[in-house]
Amino acid sequence: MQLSIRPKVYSLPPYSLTGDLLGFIRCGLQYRYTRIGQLPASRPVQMWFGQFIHGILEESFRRFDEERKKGTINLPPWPDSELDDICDLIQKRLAAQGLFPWTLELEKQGRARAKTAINELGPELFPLIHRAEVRLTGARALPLAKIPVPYQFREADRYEMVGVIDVITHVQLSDPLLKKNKLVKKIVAALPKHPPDKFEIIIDYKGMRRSTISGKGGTGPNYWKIYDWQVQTYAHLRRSHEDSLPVVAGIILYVNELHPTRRDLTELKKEISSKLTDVVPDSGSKIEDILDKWKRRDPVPSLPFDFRLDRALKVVTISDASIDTALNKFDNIVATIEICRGKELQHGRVLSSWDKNATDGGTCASCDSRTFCPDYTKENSPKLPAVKI
Amino acid sequence: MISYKSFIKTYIKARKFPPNKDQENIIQAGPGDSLFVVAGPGTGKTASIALRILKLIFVDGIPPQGILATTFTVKAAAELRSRVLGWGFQLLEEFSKDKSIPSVTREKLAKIDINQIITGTIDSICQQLLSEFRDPGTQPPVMADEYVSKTLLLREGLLTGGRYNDVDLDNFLLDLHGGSRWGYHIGSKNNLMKSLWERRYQDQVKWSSFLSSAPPTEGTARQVADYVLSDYHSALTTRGMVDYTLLEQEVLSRLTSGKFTEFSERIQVILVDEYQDTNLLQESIYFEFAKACKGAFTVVGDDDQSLYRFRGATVELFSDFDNRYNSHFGSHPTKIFLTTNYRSTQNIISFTNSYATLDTSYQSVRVSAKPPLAHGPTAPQGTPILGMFRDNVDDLAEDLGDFIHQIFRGSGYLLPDGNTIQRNANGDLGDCALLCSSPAEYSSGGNERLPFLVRENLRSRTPAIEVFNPRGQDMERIELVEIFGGLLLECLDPGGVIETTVSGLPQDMTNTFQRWRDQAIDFVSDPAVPPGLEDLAVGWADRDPNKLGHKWPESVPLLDLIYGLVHFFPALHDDPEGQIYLEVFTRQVSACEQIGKFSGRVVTDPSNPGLSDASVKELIRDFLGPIAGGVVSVNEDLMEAFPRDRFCIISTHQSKGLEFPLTIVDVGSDFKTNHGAHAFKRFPKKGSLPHILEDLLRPFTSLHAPSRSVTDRAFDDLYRQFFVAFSRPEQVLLLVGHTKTFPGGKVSNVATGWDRDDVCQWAGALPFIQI
Repeated sequence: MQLSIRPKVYSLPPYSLTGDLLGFIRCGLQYRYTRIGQLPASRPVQMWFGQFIHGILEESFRRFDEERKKGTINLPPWPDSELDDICDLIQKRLAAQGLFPWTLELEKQGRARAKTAINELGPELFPLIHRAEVRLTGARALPLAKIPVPYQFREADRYEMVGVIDVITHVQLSDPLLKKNKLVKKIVAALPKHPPDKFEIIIDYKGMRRSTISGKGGTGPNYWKIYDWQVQTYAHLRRSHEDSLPVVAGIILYVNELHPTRRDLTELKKEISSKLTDVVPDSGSKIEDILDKWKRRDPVPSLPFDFRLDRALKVVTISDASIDTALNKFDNIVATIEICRGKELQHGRVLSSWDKNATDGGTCASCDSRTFCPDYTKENSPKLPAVKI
Repeated sequence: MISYKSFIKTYIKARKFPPNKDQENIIQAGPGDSLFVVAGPGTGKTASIALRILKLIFVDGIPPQGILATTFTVKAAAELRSRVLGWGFQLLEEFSKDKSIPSVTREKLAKIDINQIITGTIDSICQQLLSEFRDPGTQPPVMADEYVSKTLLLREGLLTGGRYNDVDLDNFLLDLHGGSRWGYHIGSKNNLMKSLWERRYQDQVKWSSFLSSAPPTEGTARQVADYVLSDYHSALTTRGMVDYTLLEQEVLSRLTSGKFTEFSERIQVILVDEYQDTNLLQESIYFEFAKACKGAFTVVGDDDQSLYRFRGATVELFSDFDNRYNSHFGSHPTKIFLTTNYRSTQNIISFTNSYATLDTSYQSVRVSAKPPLAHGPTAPQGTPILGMFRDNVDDLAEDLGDFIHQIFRGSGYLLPDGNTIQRNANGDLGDCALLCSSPAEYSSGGNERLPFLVRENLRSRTPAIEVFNPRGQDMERIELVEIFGGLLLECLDPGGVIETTVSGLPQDMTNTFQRWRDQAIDFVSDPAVPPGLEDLAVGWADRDPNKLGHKWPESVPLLDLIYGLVHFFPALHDDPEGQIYLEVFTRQVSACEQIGKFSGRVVTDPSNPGLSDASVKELIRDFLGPIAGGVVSVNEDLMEAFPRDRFCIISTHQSKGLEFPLTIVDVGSDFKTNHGAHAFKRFPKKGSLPHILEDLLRPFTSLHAPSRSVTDRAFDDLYRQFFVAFSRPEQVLLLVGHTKTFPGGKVSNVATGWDRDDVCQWAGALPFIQI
């Protein structure tokens, strides 16, 4: 008698848009170790800052909203003591999860950015917020045709797409209170056609600088487009919620642009001169002059909020066609992850089973697997810790 | 929405597998009904629950977010969710094409977002509740995982003031351990304290009564135990943390005080799978939810498959569900038996049925009027049950290795009846598994056990077969772990100078440290040592960056050292089994980051050597100590999937919910004599920890003292364990053991047909053929 084949596990794999799909795009092998294997990063600087800023904005809105529910509108700017209290709270929460800023400099920077975000962005953003931290789920057909049969290790015809929208705003253009809202003005100005009177925008915070346009200036993944796809996908998932209004746009909010550092300004100047960024000072403007004259060792100059807000916001318009494009892109990534998982189960090896991406120097330099990664050749043995005397 | 008839017709069209009558009774029941479903193995219970959920949505119009479905393990929860979503979307597609459904209804159906259904384990649901429905101004609790909680319990509870050495506590814990000092060390003491802590909440123990009612010989011990647990509790609280037990307790407290109304008002139906593994705390939570649903509560389970008493499960909550539900809601749930097994051959089902009824006393604890399993309409008679018994474990390993190799790497295994077992052309070793009470490769006395010998045997064959058995050895005794741990120690604290100043390190922990150090030194001294490893280790040991114009940083994350060393060990970064061991190390570092003063970092401050030493001491005590002491180890949740090309050895507990075309069950490879040391695994003379804890604590709970003796409960659990093992195979079941435990032999063993009256029911008529 012939044995049958053990039935495959029936499971729709859940894939989160940020943790899984963006993580895999960054580097498949790193994703295997850190996401599937849950190996912690030795310097989770970006993770700390990202979670810190998300936590700060969520907690600040929560406080504003609690007051609002009691009938009091207490918009920022708030006193430093209250801001410090919020920062302390979030820092403590992250520490309990094992996330630390590691250096005093990063902590100071994080706090400064957080305070600017609350005090300058908060007054414009908080009154628009309908819901914060909105969980999304949806199912998509698993692209089985793209997964070779030997690597189809589970019985599933769909995958579950999961994500969390940082903020959903409800905008009613006829609301007199929003007439002067800078955020609303900028959103409406960025839309190709006039939106309906009531609509919603989804906002995704990024604890980073504005991406370069169309992925120029690098050979790695094109984050300019990838973040767009992420927002499009959020819009798609959000549409199925009962309380949703027409989702006309998504906003990627690059929080670091609200409080640039010396390094940010240095990068900005480089990108302006090589035409790698889309939001630049007007020709002959005071801002252009400030940036031209600024040298790397000078203190960071005070740039007008309007300019910083322009740099921080990227409005992504939503349409059925753009959503379809985004979903197809993510389907392909899911297929690739499934293939890698199938290979590892089939061959019992990690390194050869997972796609590697050694094109992003920054990602590799901070990766704890860099010395044994077959594709990263700049460093092939571990170094001893050292600081210059 | 749509009629039940349309629903079931569409399902059959899409899935080509009509539910049987019993399954339909589950699916068809009204949304407000309460069901008590007793589902034997392989009877399609997950499918029935999934279909009931879909029927509630599509026929009864219950919004998906109004349905709460939970189960016992993360894996089972994922499977249930997958079925609901996968089938749900298939049905929606069919509905959208079905012109006999009015267009208005089709539009309504199209708007249903099935993803909103709430599924998960009870713990994941509790976490979600506390973070999403928290009170204004409160913080979501931070989960202390097993690594953090065990480390805190060890450090704040047992090591504080040398309590682990307290004579009264030691005697008290030794009793819980079963009275033998075999395998009794700081790790097991910590685990015993953890069990006591968990059981206190799981059984809702009136703790102060327990403390004040101690017999004179135990009063001090209970008091010390209370100090240990109080300090552990404080350590969690001050960090804003909860462990899984406190998480559930917190949710119950809030539910009973009327919190979570937003959530409760949303829930209309609750379904719980694997209910036989529920404890009193969880039952209380479920009944609170059920109150919000006006009693629309469905439970599904199988008392014969209750394996988790050691995690606090109280199987009586399931078998007595009828009365317990009635006492809350004043009505009886509808009892439904699922009996048609679609998994196994007729021979296997028949064997499993006889096994379940072999012991007369066991029948009294089974759900009343439980019918036997029936085979599915297309089930073949199948291969007879096979038995392989040998005079010694070496011969057994040799012949078992031959059996496996011939099937999976040869032309097949010829049976005495002339049939040959062959692998499928597209099959592999993943179609088979060896199930054991324990997959440990060595006995507590250090002797090689069947899992080790089979590993060696298969490895020696051509072509060699590798074994996947990450829990085969105590992690601290695995050679790779010893070398890696030793290198970490030598890099952090060369020669163990600082180690000697760490106060309160138990002797067994320091012995392990020494063994690790010796292994590491041998490894580095070997000419085959990977180039560069010694330089890295020496640089770390001397805190010398070995780079001109540079100095050693004041603070370095320990992870730098770990990943630096991992570079030299492909087994840790390229092998899925090695990855699991590495994950234990890194999870333990994360625990240190969360609870330590130095946050998992090595401080080097020449001007303050005391501070530098303190950071290393913390790592020795909180990072390496728990691993060396066996306090933390490989967790089941670290093993995501079994590789197809390796021979898997797993415990019967791990096999729960799984099925294999060929299942090999170790029924007694260890049992050469009637020795008392292994009686608990074959013919118990007394109870083990969970039974002892029940006797200790249950008098102080609403469950009251157990009515059956500890020995009877130990027997009941063994029958359940082997019932689960025997019901895993689809086609072939092979029992393997020592000849002495052959039915009717000298060694009494419930796995080979003995009832608790010491009569072997299989002795006259063997239910298997010998190979």
